[in-house]
Amino acid sequence: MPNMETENSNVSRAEEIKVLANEAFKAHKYGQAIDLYSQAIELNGDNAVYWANRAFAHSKLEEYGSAIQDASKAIEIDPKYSKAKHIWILQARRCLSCHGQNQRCSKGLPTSVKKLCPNDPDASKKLKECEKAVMKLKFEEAIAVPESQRRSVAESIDFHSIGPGNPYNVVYLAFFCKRRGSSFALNQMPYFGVWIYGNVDEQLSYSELAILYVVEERSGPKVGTSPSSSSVPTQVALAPVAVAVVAAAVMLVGTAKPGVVVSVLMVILVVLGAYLWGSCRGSGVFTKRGIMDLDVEPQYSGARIEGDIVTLDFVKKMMDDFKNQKCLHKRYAFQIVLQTREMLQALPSLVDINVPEGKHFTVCGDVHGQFYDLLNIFELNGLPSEGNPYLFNGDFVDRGSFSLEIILTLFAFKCMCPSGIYLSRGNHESKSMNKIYGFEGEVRSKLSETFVELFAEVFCCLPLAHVINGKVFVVHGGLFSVDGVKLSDIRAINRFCEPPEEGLMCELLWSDPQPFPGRGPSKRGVGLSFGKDVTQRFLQDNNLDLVVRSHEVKDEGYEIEHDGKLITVFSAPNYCDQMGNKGAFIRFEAPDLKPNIVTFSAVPHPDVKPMAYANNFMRMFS
Amino acid sequence: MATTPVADSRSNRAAVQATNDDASASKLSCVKKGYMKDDYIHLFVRRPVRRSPIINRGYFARWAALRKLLFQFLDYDSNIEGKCDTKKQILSFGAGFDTMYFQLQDEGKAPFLYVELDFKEVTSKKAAIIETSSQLREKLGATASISPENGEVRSDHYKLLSVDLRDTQKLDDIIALAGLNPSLPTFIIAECVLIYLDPESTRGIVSWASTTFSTAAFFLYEQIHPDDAFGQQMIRNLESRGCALLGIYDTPTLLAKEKLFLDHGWQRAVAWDMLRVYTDFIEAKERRRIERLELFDEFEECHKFWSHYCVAYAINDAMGLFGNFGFPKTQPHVINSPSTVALP
Repeated sequence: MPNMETENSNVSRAEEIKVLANEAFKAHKYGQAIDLYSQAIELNGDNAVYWANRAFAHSKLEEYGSAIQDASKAIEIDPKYSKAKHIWILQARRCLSCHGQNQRCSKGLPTSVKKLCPNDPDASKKLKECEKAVMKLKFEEAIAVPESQRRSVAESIDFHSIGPGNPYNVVYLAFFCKRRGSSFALNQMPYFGVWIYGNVDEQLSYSELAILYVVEERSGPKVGTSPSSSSVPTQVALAPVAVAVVAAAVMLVGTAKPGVVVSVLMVILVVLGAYLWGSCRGSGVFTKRGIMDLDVEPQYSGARIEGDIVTLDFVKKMMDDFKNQKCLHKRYAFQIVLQTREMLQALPSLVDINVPEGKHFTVCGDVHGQFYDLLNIFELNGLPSEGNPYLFNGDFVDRGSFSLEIILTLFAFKCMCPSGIYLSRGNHESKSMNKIYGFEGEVRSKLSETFVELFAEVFCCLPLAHVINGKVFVVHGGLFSVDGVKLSDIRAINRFCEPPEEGLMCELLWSDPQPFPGRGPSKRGVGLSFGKDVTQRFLQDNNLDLVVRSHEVKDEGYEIEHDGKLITVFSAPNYCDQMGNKGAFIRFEAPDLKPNIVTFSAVPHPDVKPMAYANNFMRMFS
Repeated sequence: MATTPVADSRSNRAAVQATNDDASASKLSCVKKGYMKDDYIHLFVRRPVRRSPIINRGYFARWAALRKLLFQFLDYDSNIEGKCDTKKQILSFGAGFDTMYFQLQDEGKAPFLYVELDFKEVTSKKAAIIETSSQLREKLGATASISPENGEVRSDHYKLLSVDLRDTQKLDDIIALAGLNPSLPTFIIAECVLIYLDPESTRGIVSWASTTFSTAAFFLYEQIHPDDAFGQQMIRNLESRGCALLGIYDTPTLLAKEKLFLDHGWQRAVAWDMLRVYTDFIEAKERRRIERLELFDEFEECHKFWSHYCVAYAINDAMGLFGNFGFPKTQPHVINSPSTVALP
């Protein structure tokens, strides 16, 4: 009797303390919350909630190891406790991300996670078996899911819950796999359509397979998400869920299983089950750590990428498909865009281009979705290659209704031959512009919502300026509201964001030259207008000879201003089918780098009007 | 003289009439975005679309300019002693689905008589919509007769009649039919309508208007400058749609627009391009208001567009009402006297 009473009073006391702990948590006093949860646990160690809450508090203090331990305990007590599972997984993922990226906490990698990675030389064989099983599962699930659910699953846009009481999204599944005796760069192509996440520096002699199933909470700001996440269509996420289940089962058969792995597996099963019978929303973020496979149907007759490599043949076929208004399969679009993203991310914000003596280099201005005019440029001046390199100076998309074709073409060339094409950010490589001026609508229409986010991300990786042979400064907009800006200042800009409303990054993308000296407010309301004295000083300060920029439509496709020290080049002829202007590009030849300007007129295009997609998302009027 | 409509392969009736649908949709787009207020235009637009910011801004500018001049006309009282409430008239050529009358009713500024003219195909549709919409019908009064078959609406203060403007001889009949009083002050509107006519018809109408109305303002909004690259592209685009600007080569400049009026009996005429109208005529407050409504990145295009559109007005001032009417007087108005050189 006395024991029971003590126990009861302990339980209720623990509850009281938990309430206090929760309050401390809400007040961001995480250390205090942890202490209080600990007290509650001491009084009642069987309440999974206390462990989970303490885990959460640990995570707020970035004590990932402790967070995982507590979360594991919570799951042990209550295998169905979704919140605990959530925390566990988030923290594990964080650990793994550190592990993969900079090995910061590789030693912090929890054993519970490590145990998911059996040393299995036959992993690839097992993977193949998994894949077969997945196909079967997918098919069965597809026919089993009732019509209404199937539609919502396919749409994967809006959802309310994953089954009974479980508010989580499946975001992605990451395969971690290291091949025998080789090291992989992070942008290696998907194996089974899933990213192979490898450590660049590590050399291994055996294979490891780890499955990490990540589930993120749906609503509100995401705990522990990196800024570069985006969502994956539900359907696409289903496959890895199934794979996870089956593969985990396969692994478990061959390994001694700690309790945690079992509980994780059960958790996965629970989520999978709930997931299948509810509607799901892909939300959150797209990371290079995992995308889902999109199988290419045999009926697809468009260009295909063989293996990992984007070849010239592929690009040519793709351009031909585009010319005939055929779409590229999403899978290849993903591949191209993600590969480009990797490349761009690694670049500095100001890129130095070296043109060897006797070689030439071509700079193009805005092309604004005018794909057929881009084809014409390539007709006139040759395809981009190592021997025929190009720089496209921003504003690739919006206005013209073939923006997607343009961007995929430019990106594909970048993948195929990184030193054959350089891409600079324009003010139209931004979310706010793409919403209004057609690109977003076009992407939604021709690809999917996921790509909208993806492009927004990639655009944030584009460098802001280029310098050719230390002499020619190329930027989309123009110069600055202050004197004394050095190239190193531009190089140092953290560009991985939407263009701000003021400052260097904004001015680089938005400014315009003016005919009279000094500076003045921009007619655009953003950036500024700058005179020839500003140009002169900037060139002098940085030991440069010439500024080349775009951003403004010119009747002849180009205009030389500021006593020859500034050239505007614009490569979209008959802009918007209305302006009647010519397009132009500039060829420089090393070492003298004298600008040779070539002008050209518009060529016909299929009857799709400019900004045909701009209204797509504005159907709310009716 | 042009009793038979001039046949032209680049210009066909249906296409020209379709410009009305475009204009209505564009107006609705503006309204939805908050550029202007128009509680009725949505009744005339079947498929709302959102136009790009440049189109919205362009429609706003044109609407604001017309409104300002119209209100100048409606608002100031007669300066003749004792006549405070002069009856006024508005005559709108090619009115399309314009909702001005209904808006003016709401604002308490409706003139004594508002007459709208257009092709029968257009007026029939308009009449049908008015008939089915109580919102519009109630503004007409109880004695209104609405006939979609004839394309006519007749009420005490509003008349909608069908006419082919190329038939200038019919215009006198219209006066009678509409009950217009030629001696009352009249504001005539021709928004992107005369430019679609062959030059002879246009001259005929301008001339007829001058001889008919002794106290009147004629408001013209249409294109200029076919000569540059943009102008050429504009013309090509419109021709390919079947609505060629037949009149543009006859009056390709601001000066030519003014001359059109002066040569055909009007006392004064002024023409400004839309760039100048926007910056110097529309209130700064209004400009600032609308510039904040949308992200706008179409400056060069806007510049080009607006330098290819103009507002021109002409005055006959028998009653001496139009002393303060018009654009700000930074330059002398073009006066119709042989010794005065017209300033551009």
